Amino acid sequence: MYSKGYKVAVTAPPLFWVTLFLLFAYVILFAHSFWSVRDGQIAREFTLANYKQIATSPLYLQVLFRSMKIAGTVTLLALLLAYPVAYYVSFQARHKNLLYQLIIVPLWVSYLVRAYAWKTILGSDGVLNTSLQFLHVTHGPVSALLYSPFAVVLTLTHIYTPFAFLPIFASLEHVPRNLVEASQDLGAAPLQTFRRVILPLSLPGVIAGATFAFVLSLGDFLAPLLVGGPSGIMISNIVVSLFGAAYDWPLGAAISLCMLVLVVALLFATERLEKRYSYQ
Amino acid sequence: MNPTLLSVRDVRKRFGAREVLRGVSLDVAEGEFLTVLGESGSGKTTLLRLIAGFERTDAGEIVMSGERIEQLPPYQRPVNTVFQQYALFPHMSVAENVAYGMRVTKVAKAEAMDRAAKALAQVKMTEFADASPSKLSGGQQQRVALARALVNRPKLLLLDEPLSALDANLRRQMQSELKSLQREVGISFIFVTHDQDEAMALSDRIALLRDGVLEQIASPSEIYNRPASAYSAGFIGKTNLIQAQIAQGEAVAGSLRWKTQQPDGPALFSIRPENIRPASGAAQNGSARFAARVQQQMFQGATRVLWLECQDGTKFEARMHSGIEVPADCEFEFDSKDAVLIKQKD
Amino acid sequence: MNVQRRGGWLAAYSALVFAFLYLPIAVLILYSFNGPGVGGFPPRDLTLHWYRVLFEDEAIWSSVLNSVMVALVAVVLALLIGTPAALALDRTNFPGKALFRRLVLLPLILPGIITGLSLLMLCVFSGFELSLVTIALGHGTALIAVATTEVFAGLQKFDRRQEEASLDLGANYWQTFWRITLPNLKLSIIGAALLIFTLSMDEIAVSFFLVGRENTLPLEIWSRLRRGMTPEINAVSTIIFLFSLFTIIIWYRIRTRGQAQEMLAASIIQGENP
Repeated sequence: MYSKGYKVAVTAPPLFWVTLFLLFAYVILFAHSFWSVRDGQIAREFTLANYKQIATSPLYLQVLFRSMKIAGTVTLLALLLAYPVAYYVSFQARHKNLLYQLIIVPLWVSYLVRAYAWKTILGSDGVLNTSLQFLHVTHGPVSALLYSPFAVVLTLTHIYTPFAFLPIFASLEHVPRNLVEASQDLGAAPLQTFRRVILPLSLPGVIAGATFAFVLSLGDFLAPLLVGGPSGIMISNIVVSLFGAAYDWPLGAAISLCMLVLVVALLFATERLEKRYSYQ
Repeated sequence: MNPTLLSVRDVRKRFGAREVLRGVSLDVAEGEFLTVLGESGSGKTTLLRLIAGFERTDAGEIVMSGERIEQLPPYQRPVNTVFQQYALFPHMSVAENVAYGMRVTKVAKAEAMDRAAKALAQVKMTEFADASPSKLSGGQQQRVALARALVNRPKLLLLDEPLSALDANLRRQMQSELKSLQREVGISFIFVTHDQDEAMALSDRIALLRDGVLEQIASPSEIYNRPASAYSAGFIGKTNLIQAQIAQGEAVAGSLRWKTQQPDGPALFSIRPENIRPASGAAQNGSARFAARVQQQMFQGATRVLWLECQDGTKFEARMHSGIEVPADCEFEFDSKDAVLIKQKD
Repeated sequence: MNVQRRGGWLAAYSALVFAFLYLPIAVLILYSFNGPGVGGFPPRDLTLHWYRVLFEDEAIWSSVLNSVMVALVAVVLALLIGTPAALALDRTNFPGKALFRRLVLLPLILPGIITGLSLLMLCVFSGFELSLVTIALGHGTALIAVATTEVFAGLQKFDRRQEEASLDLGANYWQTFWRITLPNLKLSIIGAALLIFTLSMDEIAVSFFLVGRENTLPLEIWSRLRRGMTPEINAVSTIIFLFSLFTIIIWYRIRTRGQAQEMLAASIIQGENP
């Protein structure tokens, strides 16, 4: 139905832009990872030194491992928080629309605002500490609340739970209600119906939500800078410093590229998983 | 009639401001094929869902084998449903679908799979046991849905317009399969449809619902030949409704008159189109004759439908064998016994 | 369908989760009115002092202006590229289409640092100086995905037979696009624009790497946070929160109104009575 001219007209501009500003940009990132820094300048000669350093340095591996632990914990918590709420809103709640809006609003409210809010709450002079003292639960400020991996996990969970909610809610909404009725009709009590029918059919949404939460948490550098302290540093913070004070762009590029490859591989894997468990 | 299996007593249901069922009562006998027939909005699906347990009654009782079930959740009722869009579980194989009801009621796996296999054989779907439901055609899904429901040995099977998604030929085939299956299994079926031909073909009795009220419940031939109201007469098959005045054993409607035993007074009669034929021979005592002009004809294969208009404006619809040639102006007749008095409900 | 009542514990759990999501923000708002600033519970000395300080803060206002300019450019850019991209994905087939689709959608799920870094290196490589322009470029590129997703969804609901009718009646492709396709995508485009604008105003991860001499609002706040907490930040955050809240509610209303209209349109096309 559409002429060749039409097709070219709609394809060419975005294709050009995306190739230049996304694909080509990634290529340059890729190139940088094989260069090095000499005398304060970037030397454009091929070398594998950066990757060797990443593979062998205990610091980077340690931080990467910690980042994955944090991201994994955030993902788990986000799912535990998001799934029951999504189920409630989809299957039981009376004011579905209103509740849906209430959940997505925090999503669009500045990341900075929300991370900063936790800083306010967890600090030794902050709300949590002072109210605990006020209630005589503790006698002095608990400094371990802020500037720790705990604070990072708490903040990131707060930020990414709505991210996890969206795809889970969507897949629960897509479960045909007559399947639930059929299951009950055949003798299954509500818990059995949930376990055998609703849960399996909502799996694609769970996988998507988990992917969102994990990937975005892994690459986060703002929350660690605000509430993480030295013990809460994540892999992206190392990259940021390599592009800042610890001037070594090629090494930073190499770490970034590793992250990019990891994320893309994860996306491919979960996409395959999602397809497998989708029964549309 | 066989003993009563299910008793629906004065059941009411409203959705928001709309009262969908307004005091419906009926009994279903054991082993009976009952069809609940009605237009959309008549409440037939709601009635089914109340019996299955997906909705709760606002008033009234539902009693099965002496036990009140209207407050029980669906999974505790000895009733199974075949859904309109089959509602097969897409993430399970056909065999797993059929075995589902047994698995959740803790039947041993070996026995469950064995009974499932037998149920699949009964609906001739054995070769599809390991297939995914999404790969099946409508008719095949239909059969799996049947097997899945029947394998649980319910006392009552509910079918919610199960054939409406099928094309005409497949539909006819499934109708006869359904009928023989019911005979074979021997349990009561409650079948919901808006298609009156289907209802007449399959049922032992038809319950006609109209606006949440039971209009008539009787065997197909009784509803057809002795409709209780103008609505029944018009809904099931086509009919001619004639307003007449009865005086001293004779019904008079314009230039038309025929003998009748009914008491004097105004009355509404129903005359089926197939009972009107071109007049032949001498006028008989037990028949009525009238002159009419053929306004239009429609060929329908084995029969032809004629629209007739009398000189005084009365209109008739007649149906006859398409081989019969009828001139444009003709005399027609019908037997007095074919003019059925309808109780004046409207 | 019957509402399953399981002792209401799911409702209670959900309420707790909602509280978790909103409590920190509520605390922020509360403390923006607190005289001595952040520390200390309970809050005492309620005052509008920090809002007054905020109002006179020139650096903040100029960063707001910068943010608005950047956001507007990002909206235009993302829509100009994203709308044809959605059309291309909906209506064409070409080798590499799958890769194209993934590339377009990638910035949505990729951590901002990777998008920001790669664009930074592109700018440096091509000798482009960092400024508000590069930030706008970065936002626009990253948010193409939002435009494409919204417009694509709008295209799915759109009945292509309207375009066929238009062509049949003599309009060419360009006219059909302007008179038929685009008006039908109006709601998707407006929704996308609102979303892109809000996301751009809040964006910090990508902006972090592409910033030149002038700050956007989030960057300005960030630099102050690094220097130390000023209670003014609470006031700014409260205002940002209210503004985002307002925008998203409008976006949602437009979206759901759009759905109702589309269902009406669909039933008209199919010849049913409304």
